[in-house]
Amino acid sequence: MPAMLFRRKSKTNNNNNKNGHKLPSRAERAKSLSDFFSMMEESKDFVSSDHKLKHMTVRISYLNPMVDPKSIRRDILPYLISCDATKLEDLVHYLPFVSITHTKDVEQIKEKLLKGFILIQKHKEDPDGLLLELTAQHGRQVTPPEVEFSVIGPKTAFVESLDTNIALIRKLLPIPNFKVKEMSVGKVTKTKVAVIYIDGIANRENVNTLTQRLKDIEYDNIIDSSFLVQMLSDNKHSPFPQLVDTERPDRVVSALIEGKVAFILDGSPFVIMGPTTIMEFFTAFDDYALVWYLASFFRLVRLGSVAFSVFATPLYVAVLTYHYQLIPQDLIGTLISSRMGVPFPPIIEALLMELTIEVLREAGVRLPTKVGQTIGIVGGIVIGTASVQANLTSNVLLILIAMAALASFTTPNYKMNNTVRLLRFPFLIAAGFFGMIGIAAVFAILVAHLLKLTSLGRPYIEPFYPLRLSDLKDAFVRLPYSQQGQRPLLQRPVDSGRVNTWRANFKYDIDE
Amino acid sequence: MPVKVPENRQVSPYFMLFIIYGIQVGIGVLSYERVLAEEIGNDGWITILISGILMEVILWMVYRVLEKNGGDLIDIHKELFGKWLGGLFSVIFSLYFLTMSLVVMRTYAEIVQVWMFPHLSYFAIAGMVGGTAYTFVSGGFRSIMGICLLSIVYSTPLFISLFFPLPYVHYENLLPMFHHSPLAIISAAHQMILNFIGFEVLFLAYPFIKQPKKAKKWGYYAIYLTTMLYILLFIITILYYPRRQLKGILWPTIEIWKIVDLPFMERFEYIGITIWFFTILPNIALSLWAASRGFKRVFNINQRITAILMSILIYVIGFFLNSRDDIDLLNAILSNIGFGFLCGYVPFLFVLQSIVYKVKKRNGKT
Repeated sequence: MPAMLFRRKSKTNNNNNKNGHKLPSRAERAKSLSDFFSMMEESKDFVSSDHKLKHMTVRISYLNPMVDPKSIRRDILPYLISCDATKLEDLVHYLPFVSITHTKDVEQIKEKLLKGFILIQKHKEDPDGLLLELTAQHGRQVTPPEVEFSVIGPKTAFVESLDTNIALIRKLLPIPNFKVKEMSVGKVTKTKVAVIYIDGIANRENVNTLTQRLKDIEYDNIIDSSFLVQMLSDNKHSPFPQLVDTERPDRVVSALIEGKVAFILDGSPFVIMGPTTIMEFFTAFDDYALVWYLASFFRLVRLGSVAFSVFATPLYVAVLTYHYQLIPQDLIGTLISSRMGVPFPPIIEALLMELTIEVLREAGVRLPTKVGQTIGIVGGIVIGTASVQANLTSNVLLILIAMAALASFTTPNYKMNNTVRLLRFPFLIAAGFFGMIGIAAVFAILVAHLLKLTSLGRPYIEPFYPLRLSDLKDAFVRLPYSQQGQRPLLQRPVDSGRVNTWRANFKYDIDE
Repeated sequence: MPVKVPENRQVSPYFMLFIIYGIQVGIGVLSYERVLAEEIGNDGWITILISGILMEVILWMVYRVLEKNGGDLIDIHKELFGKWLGGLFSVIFSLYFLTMSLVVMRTYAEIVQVWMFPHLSYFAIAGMVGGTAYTFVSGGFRSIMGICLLSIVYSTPLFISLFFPLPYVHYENLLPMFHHSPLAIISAAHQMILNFIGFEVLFLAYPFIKQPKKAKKWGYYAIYLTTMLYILLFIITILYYPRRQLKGILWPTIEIWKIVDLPFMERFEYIGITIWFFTILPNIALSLWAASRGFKRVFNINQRITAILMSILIYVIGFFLNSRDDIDLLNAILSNIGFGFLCGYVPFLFVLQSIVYKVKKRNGKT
């Protein structure tokens, strides 16, 4: 009940000035504006000054750091000083701007002034002004991607500015059906979010779900799109990310063409797409650049290495602690001699080594580059070799753990990488307590969790559990482009045919 | 009023195959060869065939009863026996499924204790199995279908164990064929019941299947598949072991797993028993789900709470069944109850329902 009251109160607050049933009077607006100005004048970067023109005076106010300083001197003042206007509305014709907003709405003036617009009034208390957009472009240039690097393929990545990101996508999708809807989230940060989709392919339900969830977000600080991913997920407590993030425009465009919906947050170089399946987190752009059987092979290698990375150490612990009868006769000599003299049982040994590797990884992320190389060598090689020689751990385990750590990095997506790292520990502990039955039980619980997981309402392990044979063509393996004539069923696209497969696969007969 | 299940909780028709296959292949398949060999020797495969055909007929009856009513067993009981008596019968039905999950859990725990971890207490094993089964039940019918499908995928490695005994078989074990009387062969079919019970869960799961008419053929395929699997496994076991020796082996299927000789692994039966964990999960999950759903439909109590309470109940009761004799007795009891249900109660329902409907139609006409 109290929550409902709160929500209703904020709704009426919003509606007050927008629907205009009860517009505040001029005196009210003037007072509200002068309060606003007195608050702003406490900050040094707010500039507000009177200028005398030929037939009138104007007051120009703006926030200095957000506005391009050259433009004021070049694009506004010369024209103002030499113009013959007597009223504010006539100034519109003299200034060389395409869109100038003339507004009496004080809320809009406050909002736009804070975003970097320039306000021109007749005098200070007048709640009536012109708003010019002249925001300076800060931020970096378009650079190659850091996380999702690809050997072949375009090396562009998104940047922090929403307009540049949309421009990068629009370049690849020159169709009128590509729609961009904007809204703002975050009570204090008021960040712009753009929801993008292709009208006519994307299912309306997906678009509506995403838009509705974005509108329902109640939080004050939305800085990065990864915050939004956690708030928009179907299951906020699952280790598996339910919306895939990417920093490559070509990946977003491929997803949009398949019928997904995406959203871009102003200030974040990661674009989030949904609905998605678990197999999407294991695909890289390179898969589509190579021949299909090579791509399928590398994809299978990737999946196999993830499985190895999760199961190798737990299996080692289980077999050596409880099921030593499983080891073939030739191998058992090596294993016994490697474990001779180690004072801990395999589970403690494995946990110690795993935690050491995690410490090394975290330290490697935070170290400055100059020191990083040294610590990498010291940590990896020296500590490892020294601990084997001091008989604190067996060398077979060291090999397994190092290979498992390496294998977990084959995941192209950073979030899934973290998940795989975390998943190893429950298996390890279960293997230490119950051997292989423990591993089977934890695996069954993992499967149960994945079966219940949904992404924007669509099942998460899609080509496997609601067994859609037609979607398997791009899951484990990637079949050639001639077979990919239909869009995947996951997003329930409105228009599922991609190409005219008959024409694409037409072959002439021999000697024709 | 037949019960209606919302469309997003229903599954496609071909899942009928996985339901029936998943719940039939459980713990019976590990020891049935000994039981059959004791009873009837090398003509046991004819018994399995006859049991399979009998099960197909009973499945047909189950489909007829369900189709005519349109809902699930609770509705059928209410229609035929009235609210109170029908409710009592439905409760007995739920308790039957509870017993089934108890039997499967206790038998599997015993197998793990004998073959893998002699000193592991029942509580640990049952805790793992029961806890895992509960996470599937709490995900709803769809997630149980998921594990049915996936458990069949995960148990495919076990089929390689059928190839390894082949160099060592004695074909003369199959002869002399047909030297038992037909009556003996047919009466031995009641030993096979433990391997085929479980598909009465259809009585509660029928509303969850989309386009039930299309799903019927998948049910027949499933029973055909289980029958073929049992015949194949039985023939290979009979070819490998002489009948006298088979009487002394408690779990012949696991012994067959011991024959497997892979270059990177010594004892395959450990892997086999670990994979068997996934094979019994659909059994226990479906039985628990059926039992809790039966209670929910009759008394309208929250299914989640019932499922938790039932898991704890079978967890505790299993502790008191410690010896081999107890477990044997439990299996025998379940086998008899199942036989009574499948071959007695289902035909009874079938006949009763057709009589009641004919009477209603005649009354309706006049």
